[in-house]
Amino acid sequence: MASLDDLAEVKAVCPGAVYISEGGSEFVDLPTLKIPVGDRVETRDALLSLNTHTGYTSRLYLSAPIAGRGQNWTSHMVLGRTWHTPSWNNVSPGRPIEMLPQHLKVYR
Amino acid sequence: MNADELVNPRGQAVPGIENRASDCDEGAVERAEEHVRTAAAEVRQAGAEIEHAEHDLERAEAELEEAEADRRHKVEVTVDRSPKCVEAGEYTVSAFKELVGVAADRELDILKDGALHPLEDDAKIAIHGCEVFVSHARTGGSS
Repeated sequence: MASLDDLAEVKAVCPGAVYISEGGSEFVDLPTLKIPVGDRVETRDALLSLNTHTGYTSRLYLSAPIAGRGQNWTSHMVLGRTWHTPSWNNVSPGRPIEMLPQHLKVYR
Repeated sequence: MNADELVNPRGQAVPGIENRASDCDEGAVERAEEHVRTAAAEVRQAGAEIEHAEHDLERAEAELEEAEADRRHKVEVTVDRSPKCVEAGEYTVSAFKELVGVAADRELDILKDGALHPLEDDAKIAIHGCEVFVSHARTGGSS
């Protein structure tokens, strides 16, 4: 499990961030995460997996897809909710605040 | 005839220097002495004014130095959770990364308005103090 200091860092971009786990997988729940998309910012609930998940080194699941960004969007049921994510892999593991921008790169 | 005595062409005696000096009254000497005293006082006052001006100049120079130091004052920013003390001012992102110890192959993001914004290495950033940065590997791609 990531540390509370790691979580505090994430709270700077998402004040409601909390750790959550399911079936041995660890996540950071990121309600109303601000996502820079081009020159605008969109808001989605998001779920960041801290370990390998569904065959990817990590995943950033969104409550709804972002139009015009990412490829091969798929839907997944995690923690009792349907999430959406594009095909985006090989994000280096690290502190959640390091992993997050690597996932967000696909939406720039 | 006295050698010092002057005569006109007609042989008449005219007042010489001694005679003319003798015409000077005591008042003229006193006036001259008064002028000397006044001039001396003026010189002393001018000296004091120069000294005062020198102090003013020293103070102005000190203020200028302080202003210059302020302009180049050090501020604190946060990079990957660590406080870093840097001079306020404008930097290219690559130079700033080197300054704060972020490896050149890592990407730097700035936390602004509650979101992370990536910074291109050749972009410019203005550092005012209290900025928060996060560095991370340049990984992730479509699979």
